[in-house]
Amino acid sequence: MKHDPNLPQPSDPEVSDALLRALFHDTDEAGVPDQSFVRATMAKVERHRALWQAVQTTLFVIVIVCLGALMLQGGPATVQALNQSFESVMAATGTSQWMGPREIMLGAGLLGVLAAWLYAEKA
Amino acid sequence: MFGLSTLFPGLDRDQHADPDGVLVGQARQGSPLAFERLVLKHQNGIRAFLRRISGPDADDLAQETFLTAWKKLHQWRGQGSFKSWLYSIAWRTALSARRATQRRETRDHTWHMETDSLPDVQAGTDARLDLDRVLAALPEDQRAVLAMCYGAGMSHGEAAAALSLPLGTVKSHAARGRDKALALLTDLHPHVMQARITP
Repeated sequence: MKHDPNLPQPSDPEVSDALLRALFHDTDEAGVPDQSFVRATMAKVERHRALWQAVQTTLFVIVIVCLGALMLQGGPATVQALNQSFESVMAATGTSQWMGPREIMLGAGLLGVLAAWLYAEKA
Repeated sequence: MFGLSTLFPGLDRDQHADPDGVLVGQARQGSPLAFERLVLKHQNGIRAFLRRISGPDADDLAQETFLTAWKKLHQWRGQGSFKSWLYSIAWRTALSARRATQRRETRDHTWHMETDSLPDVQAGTDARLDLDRVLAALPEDQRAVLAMCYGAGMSHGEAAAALSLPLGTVKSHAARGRDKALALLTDLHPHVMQARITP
């Protein structure tokens, strides 16, 4: 549809602004909040919040348990035991490279950083 | 005991200057009640905006908008208004949905806005009934600017921030879109519009 230039048009931009604003206002639904929409939205928010908290808590527990096992049960001896386990898996699967004690300690350090971050997030 | 804002009162001034700043601060600390009040406050505007730019899926997109806002609350630094930030999320959500729809349904013509013709518009009983259909005939940037500036009462600056467009472009879109929308509505309803122009 092409516009007919002979039809009346507001010449003043302020009148055009007011007119269009009024038309928008007329087409808006009443300003009463839709409670069902708000409830549905908040249910999604709560679900996301609960899921994120569960993930954080789970990671936190896993990290703490891993660190506790490493530190309380002999430190380097545990690392050696883990390394031997890995080597036996290597032998069984034919893998030529695996983590050594240094990599395991580095991993434990990273887990520690992750645990500290999670703890800060929870706090 | 003493936060940074106590020692340096101007530090979070921008955030608290925004009418939503306090609620956002509480929501950031994990208060769903504070966030619910933000949803209550903005849901009408966001849903109306999304209805105008994306049609029948507006409520789903509005929920997605609020969920994204909840996830990214920490990213709002208070430099612009919270309202503008929320509308920018709504705009990006609508664009993503449109791209996904276009990928799924390549023959779907509902999002083809770059046209000068109205898509099979039959005049309704009043000009206001056809506003959304007239908007659908405008390019999407113009439509978004009109929906923000005339529908949601945002300033040109707020719309520019929300749409990531230069201020001059937003002003140009607003003026051109307004004139085009009014011209099309006048074509559809000459008498109604005449009465409104010269009451």
